Formats: sequence, C-alpha cells, structure tokens
Amino acid sequence: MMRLLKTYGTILLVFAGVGVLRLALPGAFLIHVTIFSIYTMAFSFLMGRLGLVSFGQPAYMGIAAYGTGLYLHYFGTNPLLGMMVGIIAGVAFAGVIGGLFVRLSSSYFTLANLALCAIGFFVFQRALVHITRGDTGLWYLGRMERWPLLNFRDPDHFLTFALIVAAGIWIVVKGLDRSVFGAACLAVKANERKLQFLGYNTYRIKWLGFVMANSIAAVAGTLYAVYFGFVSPAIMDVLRAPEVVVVGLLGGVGSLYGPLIGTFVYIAMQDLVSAIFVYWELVVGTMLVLVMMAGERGIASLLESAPRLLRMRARHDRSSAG
Amino acid sequence: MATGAALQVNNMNVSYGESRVLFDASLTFPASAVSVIVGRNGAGKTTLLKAIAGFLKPGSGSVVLGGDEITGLRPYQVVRKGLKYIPQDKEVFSDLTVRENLELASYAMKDHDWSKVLRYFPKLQQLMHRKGAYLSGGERQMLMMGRAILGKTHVLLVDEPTEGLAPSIVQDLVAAFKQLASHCTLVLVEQNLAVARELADQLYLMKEGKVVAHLADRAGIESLAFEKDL
Repeated sequence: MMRLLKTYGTILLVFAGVGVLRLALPGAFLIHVTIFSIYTMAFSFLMGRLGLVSFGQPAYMGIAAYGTGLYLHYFGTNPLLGMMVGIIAGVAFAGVIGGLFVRLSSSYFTLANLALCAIGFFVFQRALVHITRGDTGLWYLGRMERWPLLNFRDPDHFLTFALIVAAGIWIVVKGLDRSVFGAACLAVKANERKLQFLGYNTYRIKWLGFVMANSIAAVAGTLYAVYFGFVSPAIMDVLRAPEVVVVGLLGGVGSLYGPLIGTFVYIAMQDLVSAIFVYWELVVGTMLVLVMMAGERGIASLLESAPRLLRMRARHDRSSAG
Repeated sequence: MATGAALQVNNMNVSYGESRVLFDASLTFPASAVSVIVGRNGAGKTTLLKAIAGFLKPGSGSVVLGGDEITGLRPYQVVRKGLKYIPQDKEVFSDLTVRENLELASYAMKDHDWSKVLRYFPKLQQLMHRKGAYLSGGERQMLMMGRAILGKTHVLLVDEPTEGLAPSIVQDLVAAFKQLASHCTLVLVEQNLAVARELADQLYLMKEGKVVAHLADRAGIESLAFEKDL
C-alpha cells in the first residue's frame, strides 16, 4: 500500500491541488481544464509514446460523445450508463479504425486521421441528420438523473467526479509507462524494426496503443457530453483538430504532467486572458514557438529541468565566491 | 534438404523495385557450424540476410529452417521460429538500460533466464544499469547478441559484427562466437578476412548478387585472399 502511494501519490496530490484551486478559480474553468487535459493525454500518449501524430482526435472524442448523447436523448436517463455506452462506442470505433490506420506510415497516418475527422463531421451533421438533428444537436440536460451524492448539474459535483476520473487515467498511464508494454510502445517509436528483431508483432503493439489512447479520448468525449447535456457536430469540426496538437506540444508530449500543464496554460489564455487581450491566440502561438525552441519537449520539461538548472547555478555561484 | 542442415536457402531472387540485387542464391548452413559469407560492398550479403529474416520479400525462392519453410513469414514470426537476425548498425534502444533491453527481449521470447547471456557476455553484468546510448560499439554488439540468444535460437544471422571495433574487442567477440557455436548455428557476414578465416567452418563468397564460391575445407578457407578472391 505504501509503495503504491509512493508511486502514484503525486498524481493524487496534483489532482487534489486542481480541486483546491476551486477556492480561487471558476468551476467551469477547472472542469474545462480537467476534461481537455484528459483529451490531450490521449494525443500525448499517441505522439509521445508511439510516435503517431493524429490530427483526427476530435473524431474519436466525438464518436464517444455522440454515443452518450444518443443514449441520453433517445433511450435512458442514467448519465453513468450513458458514459459507459459512449466509451464502448469510442473504443469499438478506435479498434476498427486503428486496425486500418496503424498500418500507414507517419504522414499518411496523420492525413488519414484528418480526413476521418472531416468524414465524421459530415456524417453527424448531414448524413444522419434525422437521428442527430444536424447542427441543432441533441439536448438532454434536463433528462439526466440526479442523485444526492452525484448531481452532474452541480459544477462542484461534476468537477470532483472529473478529477477522480482524470486521476484514474493518469494512474493507468503511469502504470503503463512502468510496464513492458510501455517500454515496447517507446521502442516502437524509437525504431519499430529493432523491436521486430526481438520477435515483437509491432502492428499489434501499435494497434493496442492506439486503442488505449483513443479510449482516453472517448472518456473525455463522454465527460463533455454529460457536462454540457448537449452534443452537436461541432465537437468533431476539422478546424478543432490542431487545437489538441498545440496544447499537447505546449505542455510536452510523452510527459505525464505535460497534458495537464499545457491545457491549463491554453484554457487560461482562452478563458481568462482573452477577456483582457483579444489576440490571445497570438500569445499562445508565440509561446509555443518559444517553448519548442527552448526544449522541444514542452513546458513540462522546462519545469522539470528548472530545479536542476537552479542547483547548478547555485553551485557555480558558490565555487566562484570561494 | 541436406542432412544436418539447420537452414537452407534455395534459388532466392530479390529485387529493389526494378533493380535485381540477388540472383538465384542457394546456400546451405549445417547445424552447429559457423558459416561466413564474404564479399565486397554491394555484393548482396545484407540483402540475403534480410530476405532470410523476413525483412525483404524475395521475388522467388525459398527459405527452409530445420525442415519448415519460412518464406514469406513476417519478421516476428521468423524470430519466434528460432531464427534471429542482428543487423550491422549496432543500435540498441538508447533510452533503455542494458537490463531493460534484455527485459524487452525476455518478455518477447518468454525466457527470463539470463544465465547463458551472462556466461557468453560476462561484461554485460557490470553494465546492467547503463543506458544503451552510453555503450561502446563492442558493448552494444554484445547486448544485441545477448538479446538474440534469449528464448529459442536455432540460427543466428549476424551482419558485420566486427565492423568498426577495436582489435581487442574483436578478439573478445571471436571468442564469444566460438562459444556460441555450440549453442546455435551461426551465419556471419564478415569483411574482416582474418576473422572469417578464424571462425569459418564453411565460407560462401558473393559477388554482384551471386554466390560465386563455396569453401568447405580448411585449406580453401585459409587460402582466401581479399584482393585476389573478392
């Protein structure tokens, strides 16, 4: 138990810390940060651990959101069950698409995912308009059941729930990083062929990694669907595809806390800074370029190396003084 | 198939697009022997090994491992049949330690007994916590060979193992190869003729994508000279 706490305790502390920020920051902001960081974690897993750059993440999130939305609009009222339906839809979709896409080489993989996103938008906006109601979307906020201990319409309840889910995902990802599967994923990214020399079926590793990553995106999709009580094709708009890439790179892909840090900075710019400075995207863009030039591994790696640099500076100052 | 052959390559042809690089190559590698393939750059030696290991698809011909045809199998399937290939780039996973590199191989081959690895390459014991990026060329070669002998290993294909290594390291590797020959069938591609002569039980000479000579006697192997024969 102590060993588990030692390994995963930091994750619990970090997400508890995000919860404590509720005393100073709006609940909606923190909920947005929490869900978007889960969504970014999916991208970060794909790029940082498997070397797959996907511009189709809105599709994987959107399918799950629609799974939840369709269930809650037409069939049931239990939001937890709705989330289950959404996650199953997202995982099944990722399983089928992954089987086809992970065979593609890097640039084709990226473009095929972008195309998938455009197809998804078209299907939910036009082709299935009689079911999805097109741009009007599906509304079900009032239909969702509420329980005394878990009322999704209460921002504090929802934030607590989302933070617990996020902490769970971070624990799973950290566990994967420490496993042979995690090492195999990194090895695929480093050199797929070298892993084949050892007898690994790298196609299977990439497929499994892809499904795992997009299961995380599916969780983010279902959380959005339940939080807003509404889902529309805008969730998989192709114009939103680069957003998660920017946030992922800003925070640092492959790093455990990069997705959370990147999301925090990005949403802060979007929600808070935009109120005083209209050209907030300009700030994000400039920041992204500077961060990439400084370390290429995002803000997380800069924060990780800062204490070491400070110690080196202090040691240098002491030796100069002596 | 010849009696006692661990691996047999029959009339193999390989092309890169329109360019044919291997012409009707037929070779037989006896069990528990060291076979060395020599030839100048561009002779088709690496192409031959890659085609045997499943990394290149031959246009025609077959590969038979211990009586089973393995032509067309995927590389990981070939490895699981007991045929391992060590490329010449001497690259290991640089972000992983020696231990982690071995663990990765152990997991794939379901063999967690490293005693034979450490018996053949005792130096790896003291390098367990060193990352692949900080190993010398010789140490990386030892790690690659150590990883390759985990699990079922009938045939080990090693491409240019001594290339770019210091003479003392080369001698260590030669000693390790001699020991390994009792463990599995070795097929080496080697440009260092002194090493080839010392290790070879039989020797194939390749030129311009063709097997041009097969020397199976000691006298023939000893008389091989670089300028004259290659």
